[in-house]
Amino acid sequence: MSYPQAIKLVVTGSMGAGKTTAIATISEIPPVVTDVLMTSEVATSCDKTTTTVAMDYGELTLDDGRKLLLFGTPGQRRYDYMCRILARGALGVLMLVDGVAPDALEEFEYFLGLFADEARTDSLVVGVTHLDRGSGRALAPYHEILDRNGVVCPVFSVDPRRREHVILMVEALLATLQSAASQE
Amino acid sequence: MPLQMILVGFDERDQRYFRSVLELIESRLEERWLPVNRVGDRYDVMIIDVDSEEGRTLWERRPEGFPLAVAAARARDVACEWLLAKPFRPLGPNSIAETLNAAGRALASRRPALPPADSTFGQTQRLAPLAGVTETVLKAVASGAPAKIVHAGEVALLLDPPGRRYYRRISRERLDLVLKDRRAGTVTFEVCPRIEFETSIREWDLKGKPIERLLWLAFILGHDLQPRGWAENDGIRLRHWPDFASLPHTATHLRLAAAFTRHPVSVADVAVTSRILQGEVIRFVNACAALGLVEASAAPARAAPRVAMDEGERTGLFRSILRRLSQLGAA
Repeated sequence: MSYPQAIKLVVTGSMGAGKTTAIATISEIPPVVTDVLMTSEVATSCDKTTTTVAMDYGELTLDDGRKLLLFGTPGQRRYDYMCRILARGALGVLMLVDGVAPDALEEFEYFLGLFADEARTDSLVVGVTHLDRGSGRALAPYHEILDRNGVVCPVFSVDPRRREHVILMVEALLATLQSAASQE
Repeated sequence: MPLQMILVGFDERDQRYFRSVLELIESRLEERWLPVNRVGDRYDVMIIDVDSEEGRTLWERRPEGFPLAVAAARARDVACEWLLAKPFRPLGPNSIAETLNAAGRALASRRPALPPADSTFGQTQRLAPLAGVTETVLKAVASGAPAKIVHAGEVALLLDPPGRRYYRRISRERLDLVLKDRRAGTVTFEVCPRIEFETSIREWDLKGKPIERLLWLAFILGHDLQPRGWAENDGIRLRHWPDFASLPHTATHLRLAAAFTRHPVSVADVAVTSRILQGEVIRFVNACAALGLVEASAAPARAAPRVAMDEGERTGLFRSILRRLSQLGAA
């Protein structure tokens, strides 16, 4: 397989999970965001006041000059079409789920369906966020959903503000891709 | 059998110089030596630059006898058993060659029967059990009652198996050293009444962590190479990835998790194909078993994936990304 000069990585997941934050955490440029103020209609469980409506963008320059492009998808379902557009040709997908949202598991299963191709091809890593707030669920229900859907992928409890957690997700993605490719 | 060493407190220039000399004098060394990078990795010898602040602090706090500590210093009057003189010299008194050869001989005399699994890739001989700290921690957890883990005469940890928490009274670095201690009998545990246990936690103002983290550390850092809950020829599969966000880990652990989650594979097979020491693979599987993640089956295991060893464009790209992430993480 030949890789282009720019490698795309997609950060997706439910609203308020921390996608914009995760990109800002590892991007070497100030991230480009398309956030707008949330209306009361969509401002539900999370305490944030804005939401992404098109995409977020950040990047990392590799030592061979290539760019790792970080694209964040909108969290609202009405922009799902953007998810598939952004995922086209991506190396992999980092999926973040707001672990304290009342509908966290439903959202997770929904996004799992949206990125079924990536789940099937070992190019998906899941991070459950906000579990440190104390009322979050353990990871077991997420594993159950993955089992039910026949998906095996890394699931971590992450804080998107912590660089080492975002890096862990990327490293795990590379490890699964490498392992999968070596069995082809 | 390579012996592993870690350099602590060295500045970058000294590290580079040390490693270069090591390569140059390889033929003059009685053992093969492999430098490791992180404190979380297994190592036999710790070489501490006691002229640096980090090194001096660690040197003063190191547990007595742990496993073998060499002081690297400009001064010749450092109170230590093993002195590596600075500036480093390849040969001669207190040189790299002399110090490492002496350390190698001392290690050989301390542990005459190292488990064979640690020595070669993919050997499948019967693995010798090593009693030690891991065993003590397991017994303390299995006791089902609040317990104190005592090291060198002082309470190092408090365990609350019913509450699935542990409380650390010593620094994280020292805990690493305690768990790596090869000597049996240096760590003991004593069950204590709940009231006394909770009073100690309050008095020492300790914060609890999940006991799974301690079990993970005990297996990953310890020297227990006996399969726990699985057999050598079993096909091993991980039900899920460990939650590495809350567990200390290395890049090797990520590679192993990826290798073991796809299909049942044997430990020996993974060790061979991924070129990871079998002892490391056993430690990883044992640690995962302690977290309840391992499914072992007697069914023939599939061939293990060849992990991260192909030299194609993908590997080049991935290495490039990993290097960038590593720079990012260090920033």
